[in-house]
Amino acid sequence: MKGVWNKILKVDLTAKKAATEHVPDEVYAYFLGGEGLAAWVLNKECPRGTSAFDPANRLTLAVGPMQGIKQSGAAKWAVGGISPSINMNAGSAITHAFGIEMKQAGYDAVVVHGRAEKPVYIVIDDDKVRVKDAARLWGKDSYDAHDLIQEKEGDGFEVVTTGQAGERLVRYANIQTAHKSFAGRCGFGAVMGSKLLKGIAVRGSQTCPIADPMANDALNKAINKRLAEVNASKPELFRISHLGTAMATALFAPQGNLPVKNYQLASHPEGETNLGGQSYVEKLNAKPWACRYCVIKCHNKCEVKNGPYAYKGKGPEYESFAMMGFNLLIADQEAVAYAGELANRYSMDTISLGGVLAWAMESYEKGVLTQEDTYGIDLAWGNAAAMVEMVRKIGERAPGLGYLLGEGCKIASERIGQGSEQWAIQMKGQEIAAHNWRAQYISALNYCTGVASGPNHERGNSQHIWVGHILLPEWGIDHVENAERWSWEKAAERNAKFHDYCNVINSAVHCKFQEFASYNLTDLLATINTCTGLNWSQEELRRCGERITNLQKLLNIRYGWKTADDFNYPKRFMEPVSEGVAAGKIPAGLDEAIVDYYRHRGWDDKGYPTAAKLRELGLESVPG
Amino acid sequence: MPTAEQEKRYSRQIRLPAIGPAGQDRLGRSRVAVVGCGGLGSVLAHVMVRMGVGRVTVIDGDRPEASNLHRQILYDEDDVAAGKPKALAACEKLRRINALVEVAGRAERLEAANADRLLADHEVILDGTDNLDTRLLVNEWSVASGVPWVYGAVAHAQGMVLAVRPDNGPCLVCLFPETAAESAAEEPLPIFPPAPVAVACLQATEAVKLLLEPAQVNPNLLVLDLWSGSCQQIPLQRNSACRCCAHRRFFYLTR
Amino acid sequence: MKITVSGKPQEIAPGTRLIALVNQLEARVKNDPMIVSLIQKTGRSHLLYILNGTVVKAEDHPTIEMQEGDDLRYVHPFFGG
Repeated sequence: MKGVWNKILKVDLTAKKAATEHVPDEVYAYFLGGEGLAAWVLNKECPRGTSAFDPANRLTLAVGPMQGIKQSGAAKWAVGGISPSINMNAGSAITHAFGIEMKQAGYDAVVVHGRAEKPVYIVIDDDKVRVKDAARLWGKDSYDAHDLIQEKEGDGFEVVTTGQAGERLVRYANIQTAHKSFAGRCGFGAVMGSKLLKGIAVRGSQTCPIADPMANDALNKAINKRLAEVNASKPELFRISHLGTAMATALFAPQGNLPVKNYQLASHPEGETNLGGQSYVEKLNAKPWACRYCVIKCHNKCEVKNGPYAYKGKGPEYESFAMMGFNLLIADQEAVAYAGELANRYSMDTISLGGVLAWAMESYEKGVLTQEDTYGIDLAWGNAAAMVEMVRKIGERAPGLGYLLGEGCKIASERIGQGSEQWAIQMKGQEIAAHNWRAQYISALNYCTGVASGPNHERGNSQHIWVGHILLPEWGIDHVENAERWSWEKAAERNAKFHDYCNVINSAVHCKFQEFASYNLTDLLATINTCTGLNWSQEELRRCGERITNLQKLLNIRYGWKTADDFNYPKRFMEPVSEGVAAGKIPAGLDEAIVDYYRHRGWDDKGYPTAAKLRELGLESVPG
Repeated sequence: MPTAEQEKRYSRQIRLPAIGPAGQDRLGRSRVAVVGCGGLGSVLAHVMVRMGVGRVTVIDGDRPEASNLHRQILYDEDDVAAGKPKALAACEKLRRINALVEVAGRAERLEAANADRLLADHEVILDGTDNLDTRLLVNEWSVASGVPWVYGAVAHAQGMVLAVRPDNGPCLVCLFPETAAESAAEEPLPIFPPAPVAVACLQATEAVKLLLEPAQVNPNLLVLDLWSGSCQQIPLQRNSACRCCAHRRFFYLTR
Repeated sequence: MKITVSGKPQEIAPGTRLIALVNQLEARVKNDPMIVSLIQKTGRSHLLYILNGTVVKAEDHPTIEMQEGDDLRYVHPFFGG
C-alpha cells in the first residue's frame, strides 16, 4: 500500500530505548492511520486494567496516508491513548506542521510508553532518536518549553510540549504545537506528564511515495480552489477565514445552541455581541494564522494591546468563547481571550476548564463552595477577574480547590458532594462541550454514545447537520427538515453515520473544519485512493469508519465501560429553558433513542457489539 | 508478652520505662504505614522495623536513583542499577534486618483511588512523602477515617514535625490553610542528609507515643534547624473554621 | 507592652499591628537561601505567621492589633522528604 511507511517508532522511556516496528498493509486497510492506528496500538499492547497514568499506557502520535500532500486540511494529525479524564481509549486531533515532519522522518506513528526517571524530551531526526534531559524545561509553560527545545535543536524541527498542568497531571491537560494548535481534549498532556515527558521534537527529510502523485496533485489543486471559492462566497458573518470559529456564535445563538450559565439559560445578549466573530476581529485585532496548505485559515493571531489582559498570541476558538464566556456569564472578550491563552500556556483544555469553572461558580452561588475555599476569590457568575485568577490556581495545581478543579467536575463534585453532582455537566469524566442538547436532540445521542473520545462534540458531531448545515449525501444523509432537530426519527442512523464519518476523517487524517467550505466524502475518498491505491468505494470507506467505531467500542469495554455509563447523562438537559427557539424542548426519550442506536449499530440492547457484527467487520481477529 | 527471642532482641528498649514489656508487646501487635520511602520514609521504615512494630507497610511508586543515595538509607548502588521499585527494594533490606516482624511493600503512588485499600487497617500513618498534595490526601484520609498520622518535611538543613490526631488537635490544613510555596520551591530541592534522619526520628518518636502513650504525644509543631542547632516548639491550635477537620470538606479524597 | 516573638520576649508599643512585626521578621530572614529563592520566583516569602497558636492569613495581617502576652511565631513552609 502506498501513502504509508508501514513503520512506527516505539520509544520506551523506562528502558531508554527506541525501536521501529513493521506494520502490515492490512492494518492500514482496516484502520487507515491517525486515531484508527492509535486504537490499533492500544488493542495490541494495553490490556484490561491499564490506566492513563500507568507507564504501560501508550501515547500514540499518528499521521494518516494523506499526511504530506498539498491539500487544504491535510496537515492534521492525531494523538491517542488511554485518557485520564474518561479512563478509556480516546483520541484528539491537532495540526500545524509536526505531523508533516513526522511523516518525513519516516514514521506513521510515534508510540511512547514507560516512564522516565526524570524529566526528558525526545528528539527524532529521521532515523536518529535521542532521549534528552529536560530538567531545565520542567516547570516552564508549554510555549516557553517549545521555544527552548527549538532553539536547542536547531532549524527545521517541529515540536510538541505540555505545560505545568500536564506535568502536574491535570486530567484535562493538553498538548500544544507552535503556540497554535492543540490536541485539546481528553488529557493527553497529563499522560505526557505522567511519563515525565516534556516534549517531542521531530525533523524529517524523506518523501513517502503515494499511489498516483499526478492525480493527487490535480485533485488537491481542484479541491483547494473550490474550498477557497466556497469560503470566500459565504456571507462575511459566517466566513471562517475572516472571523475564525468565533463566527459560530452568530450561527449557534439563534438556534438556542449556546451554553449559558452552566446550561441553565438560553441566551446571553451581551456575550453574544461581545464574544462573536465581528467583535473578535475588531477588538482582538485578529489576523489569519493558517496551517500549512490550508485555504480556509480558521486560526487567528490576536493582540490585546493594553490593560490587564494585554497579550499577543492565539485567538480563542468558539468553544473557548462559549465555555469560558457565556457559560460563566462573562462578556469581557479580552478577559476570555487572555484566560484562554493562559490556559494554552499551562496546557489546559478550555472546554473542560470552562465546564469546571461553571461547576465551581454554581457551587459558589449555592454556598457549596465559599470564599474560604476559593482563596478569597469572589467566584461569582460574570466575574472575569476571578475567572482569570482561578485559571492560574488550576494551572499551578494550587493546594486545595485548585488541585480539586484539576481533577474535572465529576471528581470535584463527588468529593464536595452536597448535591453538586447535579450541576457537574459531564459524562464519563469529561465535560460537555458547547452544543446545547435542547437545540437538537441528536446532540444528546451523540454525547451519550460516543466511543472515540468519550462524550465529544467532534467525534460524531451529528449536531452539525443543523448547526453547520453539513450533510453526508454520499452516505445517504442528503436532506433534513428543521423540525427534525427535535425528533428521534432517523437519529440513530444519522448518529451512527456521523460517528463513522468522524472516524474516517480522524484516521485519514484530515481537518474536519474543511467541511464548512464544502469538503465532502467524495473529496476524502478520492484523496485516500490517490494516496494509497486502495481504490475504495464509498461503501468501503463507510465500512472502514464503522470498523474503527467498533474497535473503539471494544476498547471502551476492555477499559471498563458499562451500559449504565451511556445513560448517566447530566439531568440539567432535561430541564427546559423558557426562551428562544429551543424553549420548552428537552431530549425526552433519550434512553429509548440510545437503545435504538445500539440496535441500528447491530449491537445488543446493552450496547455490546454482537459476534455477528464483529464477524461482518472482520474484527473477530484484528490484523497485525 | 514478648517471647524470649523478642526479649533478647529488644532488651535495650524494653528497659525504658516508657516501653517496658507491655509496650513492646503492644508494638509487636501494631500496624503502621509509611507513605513514601525516600529520605524520610526509609528512616521511618527502618526505625519501625528495628523497634519491632508488628507490621510495617511501605508505599512508594518510584525507583531509586543515584541522586537518592546520599540520604535515602535503605538503597544502595545495586538497587539503582537494578531499577527495582523502592517499596520492594526497601522491604528486602528490612526483612533481613528483622524477620520477627511483617513487612509489606506496595509499589504504587498513593492516590484517592487506592488510599482506602492501602491505608486501611493501620493504626498510624507516617509521612515519608515529598510533596504537599500527597500530604493533603493523607491528611484528609486521616480526618475521614480517624486514624492519626505524623507529618514530617525537610528542606536544606531544616525540618518540621507535627502529629495529627483527628479526634483532637490541628490537622495539616489548620497549618497550611492557603496556597503554599511548593510550586515555587527550588528544583531540585537542596537537602542536608542529616535533616531527614533527624526529622524522621522525631516522627518515629511521636508514632511510638501514639501507639503506647497517646497522652504523651507532642501537641506542638516542631521546627528544627540542624545547621544552627535550633529546635522550636510552636503551640498550634485546631482551627475551628478549618475546611478539613472542622467542616470535613475534602478536596483530595472522595467520600 | 510585652509579647513573645519566636519564643523570645519583645517589648512593643501599644497599638502595634501584626503587619509591623511581619515586616520586621521578613527583613530579618531575607537572606535565608530558601526565602531568597521564593522571593525571586514569586515576589514574596510565603512565611506563615502563627499568632497564639493559629495561622493568620496574610490579608488579616494589617488589621490585627497586638495584645499584651501575644505569642507570635513564624514558619517557613517546605515540603521535601
